[in-house]
Amino acid sequence: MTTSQLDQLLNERAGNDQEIVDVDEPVVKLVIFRLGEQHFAFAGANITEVLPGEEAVHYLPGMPASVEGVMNVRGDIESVIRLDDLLQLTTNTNQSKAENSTILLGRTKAMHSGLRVDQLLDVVDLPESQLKAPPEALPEHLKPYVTSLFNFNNLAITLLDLDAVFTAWLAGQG
Amino acid sequence: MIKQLTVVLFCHQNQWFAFEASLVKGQGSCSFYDPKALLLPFNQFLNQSTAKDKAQQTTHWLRLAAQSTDAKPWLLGIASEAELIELPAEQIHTLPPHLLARRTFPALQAVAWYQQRLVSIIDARVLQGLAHPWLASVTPDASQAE
Repeated sequence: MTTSQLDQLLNERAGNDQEIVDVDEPVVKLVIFRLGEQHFAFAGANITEVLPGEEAVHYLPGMPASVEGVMNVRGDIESVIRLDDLLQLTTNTNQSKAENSTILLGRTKAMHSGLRVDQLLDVVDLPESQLKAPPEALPEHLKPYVTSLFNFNNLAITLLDLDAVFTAWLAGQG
Repeated sequence: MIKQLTVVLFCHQNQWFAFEASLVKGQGSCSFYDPKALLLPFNQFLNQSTAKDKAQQTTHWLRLAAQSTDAKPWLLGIASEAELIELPAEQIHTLPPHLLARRTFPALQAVAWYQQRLVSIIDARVLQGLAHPWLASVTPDASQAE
């Protein structure tokens, strides 16, 4: 049987379909927040829940200063910690808690805990191509935790590795 | 299966603490206590005290079960009268492992919710161990002088 023009055309179209390239860039979900005067983000995969800052946090004696306390999350105990000391930030804790603060529930293989942040800015899907490698000039104390930098609404955001943050905290830093 | 735990509950500096009741042998007012026993303020264990605190905030004492017969007698000074309560088992939680790892007060064993308040459950056996250095270094007479 000879090939008709229609067959030929359909074959060409089928070939074209196979050549279609997915132009969607890979994206990464990020939770962007402010701590003190600086802006950071965690990978969304590590943040399981965002809770209002007014949630009751109960002071727990006998803990390092970075432990704000514990909270009751659906009957379970969840700690709430601050990263200011670990990241060497200066924050007016009382003021930030009273205003826009939020508690992010973070989870990694090492541990899980609430994290008090001063303001949740956004949760976004960012193309991976917009993530830039951290510069050499990055402060030494941040280098273990920073995976990349990016711009968001004209703000320079530092993407933190929550696993590295929690591992350092467990090791007694902050 | 244990459904509830009897504990001795007390308030100290606006924080609630409890011991498993079986590890507490008695309580009383600081107006009346055995002069042979050392009185160690609870603040001292929490590393929160000043000499002024010790004098002002210890109004009652608890006698914890002794771990060994040769241990010096001592009383735990607390800032309020303790009460005996039943804590439902489902309200008692072990500390998350990362808090156990970072705690600065080793006798802190667990936490519980009681009347919408957080209760820190203290291991009386560990507290006994923490008292040993003070018991070894302080004579009863010195304690009375404070």
